[in-house]
Amino acid sequence: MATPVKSGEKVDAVIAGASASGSVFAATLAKAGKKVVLLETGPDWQLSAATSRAGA
Amino acid sequence: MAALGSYQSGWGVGGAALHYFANFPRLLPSDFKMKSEHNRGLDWPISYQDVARYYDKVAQDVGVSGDAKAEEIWRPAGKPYPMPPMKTFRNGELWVKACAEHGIRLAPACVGMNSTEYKGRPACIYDGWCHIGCPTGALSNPIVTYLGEARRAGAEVRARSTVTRVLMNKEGTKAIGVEYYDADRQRHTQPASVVVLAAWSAQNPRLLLNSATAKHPKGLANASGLVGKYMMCHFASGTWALFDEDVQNHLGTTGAQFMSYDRYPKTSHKGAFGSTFIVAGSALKTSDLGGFANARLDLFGPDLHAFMKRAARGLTRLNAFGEELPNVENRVELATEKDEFGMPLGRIVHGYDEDAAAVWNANFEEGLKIAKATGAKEVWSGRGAMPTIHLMGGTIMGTRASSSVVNSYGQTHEIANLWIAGPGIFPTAGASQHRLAKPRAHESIALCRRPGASGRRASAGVSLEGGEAGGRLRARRRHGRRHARGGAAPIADVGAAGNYREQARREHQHRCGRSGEGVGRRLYAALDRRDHVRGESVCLHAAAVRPGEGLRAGDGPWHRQPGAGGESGAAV
Ligand SMILES: Cc1cc2nc3c(=O)[nH]c(=O)nc-3n(C[C@H](O)[C@H](O)[C@H](O)COP(=O)(O)OP(=O)(O)OC[C@H]3O[C@@H](n4cnc5c(N)ncnc54)[C@H](O)[C@@H]3O)c2cc1C
Ligand SMILES: Cc1cc2nc3c(=O)[nH]c(=O)nc-3n(C[C@H](O)[C@H](O)[C@H](O)COP(=O)(O)OP(=O)(O)OC[C@H]3O[C@@H](n4cnc5c(N)ncnc54)[C@H](O)[C@@H]3O)c2cc1C
Ligand code: SF4
Repeated sequence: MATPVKSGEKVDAVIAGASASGSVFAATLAKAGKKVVLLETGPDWQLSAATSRAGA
Repeated sequence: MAALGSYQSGWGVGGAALHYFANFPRLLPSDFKMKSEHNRGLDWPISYQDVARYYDKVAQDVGVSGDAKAEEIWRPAGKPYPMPPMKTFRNGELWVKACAEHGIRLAPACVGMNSTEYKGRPACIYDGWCHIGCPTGALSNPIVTYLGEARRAGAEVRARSTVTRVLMNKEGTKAIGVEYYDADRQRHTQPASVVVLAAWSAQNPRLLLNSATAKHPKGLANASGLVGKYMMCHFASGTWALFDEDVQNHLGTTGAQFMSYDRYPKTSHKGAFGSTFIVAGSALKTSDLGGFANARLDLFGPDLHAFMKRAARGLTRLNAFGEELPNVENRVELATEKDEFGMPLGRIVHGYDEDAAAVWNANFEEGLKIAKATGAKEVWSGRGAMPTIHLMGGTIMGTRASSSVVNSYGQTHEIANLWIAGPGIFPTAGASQHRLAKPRAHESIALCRRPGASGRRASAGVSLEGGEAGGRLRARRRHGRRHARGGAAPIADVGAAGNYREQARREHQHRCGRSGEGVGRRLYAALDRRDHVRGESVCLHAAAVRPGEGLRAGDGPWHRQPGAGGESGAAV
């Protein structure tokens, strides 16, 4: 994985919402070599979290 | 809690599609041309043919199971799905013959789930926990599909980061990034060449409106005044059938085993306008969204216990999703109340019109007939408040800046490097669920790499009272007045007559106890960061009592009904 972009450093695309639709933009742009940051208001769910309330 | 809360936005990385049902039906060609074919609603700036190949591409990308050939009785031919259809169980199979008797053909549902292992993800185990987040990876949620790809390709996901504004250059010609707050409520800016809002149909307009500047006093991309307008939902008419035998209702997925587009043509039901998409057979849990404890809200104590004992083995459901037409009055706007970051809450003003209520009623009526044909011991309609499922619109696409917010790629007409993603850009809702948001994004990107490629300047604002939409509003008011003179009649008298509009009107009077303007229900909800929607479902009369307020659940003299927002409700 690339080093995370520091807040303040300019990126090619910023996406508000790590959502169904935001993830398609993110995948397509990132695979085209663009620097992408997704900003998501909620927590970073992992699949394992789907069976518990952990992380909420 | 709120009527608008049950099938709405997600929260956290992955969004709503972490706990969606992964039904992957398509819109049909007629959805794109409603205005030109029926002089109702709106036309899309693109056709089914423009998006067909993206439907096929997404099916390969995420993994869809189904039988494309079987579906092609209803839609233009495309590529086969990468996996065969899912397993079926008694709770789905028993609907096949009953539907056929009523002229409804059922095909295997196409779902974004693995019937076989796919791209290193396991096959489904049919335990039916899809709606709380498939724990195995068999369901194509964003984490195991596009978001995973994005991360592997170097995209950074910054959780607990709340965007509050899109930032513009001084001239007001270009987005230069966004403002956001982190988990410690520290304010940051994130500069970027391209800004994409993918925060859900209601949050995207809220962000655009909150980003107003001196150059864009009405909010960004809003010269037309249409940001936040044309919010649309799906509604569902669920019909329950209870058997003495075990119908294996613990098995399957939360989505569907079978589907039909046989009531999809807009004028399928006499006296009603709008598409219907039918699904059958979902695994049932006890008390969750659509769970069987909620199938009989009229029962309590020992009666509920006895019912649940039977339902745990013998209950199954047919579900018909209906289409709401775009209506400029249904909208998201900024409320006066603010969230923890000082950003005004969004407020949703939404009411169903007579067409929606008529389609809803027609589907209940047909559902009951079909359910009786299954030979079930008991059948009933899962009727509660009219549900609001899948929010769409608010940033609709079109060819002109005067009558839409974005072009067919999701690029705002006014600001070439500001894009909107998701079902918020749909100008009509169809009755099937809306993965289309994904296919189109692929094409958007092509343009995204060439900022400005299809950017166009906005023309002057449009008068919302004029034109087609205003005409319809006026017609509706006249209609409402006519009804008001009609007088009340008991709801039981109607129905058999098949006049669904009339039935809808009487039902409203019956439930609300008053006659008056319109039969629609109106939903008010306040949006905030965590709950997304807070509010209450109210009828039009209550709205007239306290106009213009940001409403909360529990506020005011609202007319309440049990089961708001779900497919479940009191038995009739
Ligand atoms: C995939 C999945 C996701 C879920 N997600 C959520 C969620 O997000 N939120 C939520 O609130 N709930 C969720 N649930 C439901 C929740 O996990 C269950 O309701 C809860 O675990 C039930 O707890 P329990 O103690 O009753 O029984 P269980 O956890 O089922 O444990 C019963 C245990 O007893 C053992 N046992 C059975 N018979 C005997 C016997 N005769 N002798 C000895 N041992 C025996 C079993 O092997 C088992 O280990 C989920 C369930 C599943 C399957
Ligand atoms: C229960 C349920 C079942 C469904 N079943 C199906 C189905 O079977 N088939 C189908 O096609 N569709 C289904 N849908 C609909 C589908 O899930 C949605 O249409 C889709 O997920 C919407 O995607 P989106 O990108 O617009 O936003 P969402 O997926 O809602 O995601 C928006 C994201 O943005 C974040 N966010 C919001 N505001 C901000 C902000 N200010 N800053 C940063 N982040 C923010 C949210 O936390 C969220 O994670 C279902 C939906 C639900 C709720
Ligand atoms: S039934 Fe179970 S394994 Fe299959 S998609 Fe749903 S949650 Fe995943």
